[in-house]
Amino acid sequence: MRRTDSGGWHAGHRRVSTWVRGFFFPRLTWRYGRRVLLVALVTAMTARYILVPCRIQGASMEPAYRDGGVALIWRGAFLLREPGRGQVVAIRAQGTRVMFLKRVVALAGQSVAFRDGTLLLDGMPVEEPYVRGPCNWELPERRVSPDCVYLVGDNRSMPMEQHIFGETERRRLAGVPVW
Amino acid sequence: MKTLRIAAAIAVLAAAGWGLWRWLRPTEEKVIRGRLEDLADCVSRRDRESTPIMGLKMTSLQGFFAPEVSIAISGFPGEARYTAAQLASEVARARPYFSVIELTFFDVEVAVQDHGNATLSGTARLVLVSADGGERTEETRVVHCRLSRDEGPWQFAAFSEEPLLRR
Repeated sequence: MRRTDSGGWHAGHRRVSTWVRGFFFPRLTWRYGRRVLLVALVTAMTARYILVPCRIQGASMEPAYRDGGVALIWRGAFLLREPGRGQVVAIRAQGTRVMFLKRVVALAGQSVAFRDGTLLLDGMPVEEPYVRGPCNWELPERRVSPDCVYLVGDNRSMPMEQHIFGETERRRLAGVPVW
Repeated sequence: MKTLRIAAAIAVLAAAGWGLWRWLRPTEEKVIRGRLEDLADCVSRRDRESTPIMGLKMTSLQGFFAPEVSIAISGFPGEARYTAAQLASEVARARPYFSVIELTFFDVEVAVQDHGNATLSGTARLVLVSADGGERTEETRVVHCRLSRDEGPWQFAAFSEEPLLRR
């Protein structure tokens, strides 16, 4: 009985150590090569076209997205859906190597303004729970052009002159951060 | 196992051969990309850059520009049209105010037209660190360039900006 137990333990230990050795030092076979190639290809395609990893630079979306953080951009977000107000979106510059993270505050046809730091949408004040800190922005009313969205960052504590915001074409929306 | 090694060696040799061929026979598009990278390198300034390096960069800067250059970029100080010497001089005058200047281009697209003309679009990122207070400023813009070439190398004739967000 004792011998059987001991043998079972040894056999299990051997199986585990063989598996660990095989995992870290695999035999280079065609099958293994194909598998590695497939995994690399799927990972590269996913990171390029589906879920694009990005490093955040700048404080314009704080506190939701902090400077130096990482975001994964879901590129298929607007294939079948239109952007919604309050949604955080990534907009692409020339390509997708550099993108801007902003929040949609107004849609096409709506009028947008800032009065004493409060966002006015079609003349009505809007509550924005994602905005923290004091804000004293003043911006005259303007109407969002057709097929455009109006984007502003969450960090309204910074001076308005230093904050990049405004309307952009719908075609520039590259996706939404999922992380 | 042996077959796999032979296949890997062939793949490496093929990749090296292709790279060598591309390097020895660059396309016009690649030449223009190289000019842009060289221009960015010339404009950029690393911390504690030596005077000879700076002098060398400023001497070669004028050669990147066509005899007349138009600039339509918001926030760019001065006139809309420059001669190559004027523009190089403007850049040289601005350099001492910053300890670090980093100009980088991303997602560059080049379209070569006939008669020695080409256009280039890309995302330009400029990082400036002021020499006195060390204040850091970052600007990211979508920039379009027009290039021309007679007998010599490609030269930048126009810079314009495509606004991403309009207030």
